[in-house]
Amino acid sequence: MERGPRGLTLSALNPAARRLGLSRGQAHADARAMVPALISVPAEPERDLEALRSLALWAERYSPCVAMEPAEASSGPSSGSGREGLLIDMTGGAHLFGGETALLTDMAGRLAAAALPARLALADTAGAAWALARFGRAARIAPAGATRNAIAPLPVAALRLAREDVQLLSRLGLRTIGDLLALPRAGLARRFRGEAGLTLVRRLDQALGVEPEILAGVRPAPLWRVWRSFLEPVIDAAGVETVLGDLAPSLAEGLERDGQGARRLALTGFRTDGRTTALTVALSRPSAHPGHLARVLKERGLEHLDLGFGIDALMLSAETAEPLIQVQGDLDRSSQLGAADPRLALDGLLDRLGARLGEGQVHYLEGRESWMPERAQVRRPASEGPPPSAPDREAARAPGLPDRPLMLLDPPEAVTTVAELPDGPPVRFIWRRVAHHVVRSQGPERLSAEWWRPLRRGLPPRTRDYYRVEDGEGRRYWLFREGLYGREDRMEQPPSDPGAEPQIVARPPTWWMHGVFP
Amino acid sequence: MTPANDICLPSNPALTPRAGRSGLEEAWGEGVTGRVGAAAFCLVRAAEDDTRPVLLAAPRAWLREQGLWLRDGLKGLGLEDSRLLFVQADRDAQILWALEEGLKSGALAGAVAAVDAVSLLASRRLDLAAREAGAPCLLLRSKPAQDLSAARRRWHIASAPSAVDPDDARAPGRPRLIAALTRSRGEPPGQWLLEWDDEAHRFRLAAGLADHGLVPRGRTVAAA
Repeated sequence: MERGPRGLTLSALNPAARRLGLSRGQAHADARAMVPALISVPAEPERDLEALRSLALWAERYSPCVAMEPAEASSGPSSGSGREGLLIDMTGGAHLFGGETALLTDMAGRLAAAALPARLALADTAGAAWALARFGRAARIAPAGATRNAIAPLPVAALRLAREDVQLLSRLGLRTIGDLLALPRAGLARRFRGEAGLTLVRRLDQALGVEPEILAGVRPAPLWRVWRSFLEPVIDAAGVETVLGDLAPSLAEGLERDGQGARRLALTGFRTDGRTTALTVALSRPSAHPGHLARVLKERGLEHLDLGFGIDALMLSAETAEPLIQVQGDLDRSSQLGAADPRLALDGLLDRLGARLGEGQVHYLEGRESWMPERAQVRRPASEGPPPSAPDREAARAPGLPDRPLMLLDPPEAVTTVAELPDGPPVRFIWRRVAHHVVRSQGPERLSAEWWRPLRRGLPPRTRDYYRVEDGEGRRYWLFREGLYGREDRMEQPPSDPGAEPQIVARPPTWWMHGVFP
Repeated sequence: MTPANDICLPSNPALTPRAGRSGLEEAWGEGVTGRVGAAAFCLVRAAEDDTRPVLLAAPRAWLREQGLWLRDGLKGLGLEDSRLLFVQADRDAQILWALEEGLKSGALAGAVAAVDAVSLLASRRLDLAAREAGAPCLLLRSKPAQDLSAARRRWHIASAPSAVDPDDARAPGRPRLIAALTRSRGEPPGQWLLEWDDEAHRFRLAAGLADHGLVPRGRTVAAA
C-alpha cells in the first residue's frame, strides 16, 4: 500500500489478492473491509527501483542495450509511481538465442527459475512491445512488419496515455487502438485540448514505428564484448578461469581487428537468481594481448566474484579502449627475461601489481611547487607512467652534501631543545624520550611560511629555521624551530569583551623533529 | 683520492661487480637512524650500475614509524623520480609477492623491501628469482634475524660520525656508515667504514685518518 492524494491505496497485489477481487488503486480501507485478513506493507519505491536496476544488469546477458521504462510511461489503472518493466533492444540479436520464440522461452524459463513473475513480449517497436506485454493475450510476438495488426485489438490504455485521456476516449466510444487508427490523425490532434492530443498522436506514431523512440540504457554499452553461456551453472572460480581462457582470445581478436587496445576490462557473471557480479581492472597501456588480459584478471582475484548459486553466463567486455599503437610483445611472464622489451615488461608488471594490490598502492613520487618539505611531493599512480623529468631547480642548491633527509616524519614530532637565542642551533634535545647531545650542526635554513595557505586553527603561519644536526654517535637529524624570536613570538588575542583592546600574549617558538638522515 | 680507495678488496662484497651481487641479502639497523642508514645502503646497492627502476616496498605501519620517503632526499642519493617505484601494502605476504613478481619480470634493477616475517621457503623463492634475474633483492629488518633464511649475506648497518666538512668545521660532513657483514656464504665476515661519495652516488670505503676529501690538502705543504 502507499499513501496517495486520497489516503492509503493499494499499489501492488499478489495473485491471491487479485483473485479475491481487489484491484490496484483501491482505497486501503475498502480493501480491508472486503478482506479482513489482508496483509499489507508500506511500499518502498526506492528499493523497487534498485531491484529493477539489478535485474536490468542481469538482462544484459541478452543484449548490451537494456533500459528501464521511462517514468512517464507508467500509466493505466496504476497510481502512477512504480516503473515496472524493462525494454531490451534485441535488434539483430535474436538469432544468437535460436530465434525469437526460443529467446522468449529461455528468458521466461530463467525468470521463473529465479521466482520472478514476468510477462514478456517482442515487437518491432518499444511502444508495441510495451503494449503487448501488458495487454496482449495470446500472441506475444508481433511478427516483423505486422505491428499494426498486432496492436489493433489491444485496449487504448496500452498506448501509455494518462488516465484522464483513457477515460475520455472510452466515453467517446474509442476502446481499442484499432478504432483510433481508423480515424484521421489531424482530427485526433485537434479534438483534444492542449498536450493531450499531441501526446496521443505521438504515442500512436511510436507504437507503429513512424517516430523513433530513444531508449537510455542503464549503462553505456561497451563496444567490445564477448560472452559465453553454459548448460550447467558454473559454481567456482576454477570454472570461471577456464572459461576466461576462452573468452580472452576472442576479445583480443575483436580489439585487434579494430586496432584498439583495452584500458579497462570488466568480467561480468550472470547469476541464476537474476543478479550479476562483476570485476573491473585497469591497464596502464592499451593491450590486446590475450595472455596479459587473462593474467591481469586472475591477479585481480577471480574469487572476488560472488557466484551465489552459480552463474550461467560469463561476459568479458572492454569498457574503455584506446588505439593500439605498437605491436605487443610477450607481456606475460619471464620466459624471455633479457629478450623482452623492458618497457613492456615494466608495464606488464605494473598492471599485475595494481590488479592485486589496488591501483593507488603502486606509485611514483613527483615534485610539486612548494618549498615546504611535506608539501613538495605528491604521489603519481604508476598507471600514468613515470613522472616527466622536470628542469632541475634543485641544482641551484649547493651540490655535494645531502641537504634533505631520506625520510620525513609526518607529522613532525615535538622535541624539547636547549639552544642559543635568537637563532643558534640546538645544543641538546630530547626526542622520543631519548636525550641527544649535539656535536655538529649546520643551519639555519630559513623557509618562510606560505602565507597564502589557509590558517590552521586560526594562528598565522610562522617561519621555519631548519638545522642539520649530528650527535655524538653519528646519528644525523633534521630539526626545525617554528617561529622567530623577536618577530614571531607573540600574537594578538581578540579581547573577551568587545570594545576593549586586543591583548598581546606570548607565543614562543617551538622545536620539532622533521626527518632523519642516513 | 683516488683509485687507492676504489680497490676491490677481495673480501669486500660492497665493491664487487654487479654480477656477483645478485641474490637475496638482508640488512638491519638499530633505531630510527639505523634503519634509515640501512635503507640508504640497500637502495644504493640495488640501484647501482643500472638504469632500470628499483622497487621499494614497505608496509604502512613501518612508514608511520619511520616517516615517509622524501623525494629530495632520494635525489640526494642519486635516485631520480623515474627510477623508484613505490609499493605500499598492508600485509607482509603481499609485499613478498610484489618482490617476487618484480624480480621475475626482468624489468627492475633491484628490489628493496621492509618486511619482518620471512619464512625460509619465501626467502628461498626470492633468492632464486633474484639470481635468475641477475638483480639484488634486499630486505630491511628491524631486528637481527634469528631465524633461518636463504639470504646470502646479512648486514648490520650503524651510523658513524661523519667526515669533517672542509668548508665548515662545525657542520656535519659526508655521511658515514659502518657496514658489518655478520653472515655470508663463502666470504669471511668483516666490518667496513663507508663514506658517501656524492659524485659517483656510491658508498666508498672511507679513507684513514689522514685524508680529508677529494684533493689531499696537507700533502703539498709537507712536500715543500
